[in-house]
Amino acid sequence: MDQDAAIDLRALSSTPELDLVERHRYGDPDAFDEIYRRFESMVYNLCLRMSGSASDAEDLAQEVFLRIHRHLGRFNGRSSLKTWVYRVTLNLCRSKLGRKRWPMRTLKDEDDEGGVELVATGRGPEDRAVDRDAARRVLEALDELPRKFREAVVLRDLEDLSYEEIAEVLGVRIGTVRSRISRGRDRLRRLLPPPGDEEGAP
Amino acid sequence: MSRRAGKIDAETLSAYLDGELAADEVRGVEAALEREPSARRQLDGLRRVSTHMRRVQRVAPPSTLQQDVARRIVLEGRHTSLLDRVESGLHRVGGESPMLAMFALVISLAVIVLVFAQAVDRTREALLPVRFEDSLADETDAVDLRRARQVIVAGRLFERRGDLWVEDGIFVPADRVVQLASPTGQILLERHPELRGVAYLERARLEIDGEVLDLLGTPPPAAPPSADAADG
Repeated sequence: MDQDAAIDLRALSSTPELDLVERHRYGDPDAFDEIYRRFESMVYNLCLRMSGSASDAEDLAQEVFLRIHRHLGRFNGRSSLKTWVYRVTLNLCRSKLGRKRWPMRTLKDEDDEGGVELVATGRGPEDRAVDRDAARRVLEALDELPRKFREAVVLRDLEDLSYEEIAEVLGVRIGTVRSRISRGRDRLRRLLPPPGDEEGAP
Repeated sequence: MSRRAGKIDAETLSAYLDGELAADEVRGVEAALEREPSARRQLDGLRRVSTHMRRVQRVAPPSTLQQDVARRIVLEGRHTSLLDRVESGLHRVGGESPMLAMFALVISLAVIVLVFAQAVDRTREALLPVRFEDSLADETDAVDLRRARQVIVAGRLFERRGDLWVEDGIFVPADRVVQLASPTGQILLERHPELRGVAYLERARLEIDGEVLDLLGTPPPAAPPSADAADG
């Protein structure tokens, strides 16, 4: 065992994350079940935001959890388990989706068919229709962003990660995260409808 | 604080909105916002973007995802184990004769393809639904599987693991909801035409935790006439 790994394991020794990883290494299926429950929604939603398609997101999420199951034993504790899972997810999305652009029409069609609910339930049908249109406009605007800006904005505004966490996930410095979020938002500001014009926007 | 031409730059304002600035930077931004209308307009623009973003809600993952992941993990475990055995065998043989190792490799690949094809078939077969509709379980004469630990239907053994049913180590997707037995003892299949061969049995024996129930089957519906036949 190298020195870094030894230090990392010592740092983790009192955390529930280490317990989970160790239990998984020793073949305890409940450990993976707990990891699945903890990250299911997060992984699926990130896949959905990056692929724009519910069926792609489901396939990607399956692959992500297979990779987690396969490689969890290599988790070395240099980052939190959460940012590690985000990194696995984002790397897989990048490699599988490649240069493919978000097929927003697919997302729209699936939403129309009830396959994907973009907005919170529990509101009236009219409010939900308005929310759905607004959410769709946001996703279409995100689709226009270069991948680097889109990843940073999605992780910040949709996944609610801190700049430090985003830097860990993307493997860049915090200053770079700050710049990408700012530039992404600036482009979104120009793409999204101004106040008072939201209902009538195409 | 970063500034450009004496004004707050967009990056600083964006980080301010996210609460990612140090206390002295926050004070600097707030002082600048007091005196610079353009900075306030810029901040309003960023807040508007945040308002838009908040409209995108989290989506619940499909209910089948967990079972699909579990099934693939089981299948992957089997294939990994097989490949490990092949690799170790080739290593031993290769040490004695390279030609023999090549021959063994070809044979092994053929075996792997065969085993994989069987595994795919097995997975398909394993999609026999065994979960009952809740409404059915409330009917007086219906069979309630919710407390059962073991079910044999059409000669196939299913065991409960938590909320899932497992046949020979393969998880049965819970979304494959089918009524296996109606209150009158008939077997019905509502949503899975691929399983007709299993579900439309003339007679079926359902064994739940050792208790045997003989059920009468429902004949499959007559196939609709083909387009060719209709044209003819």
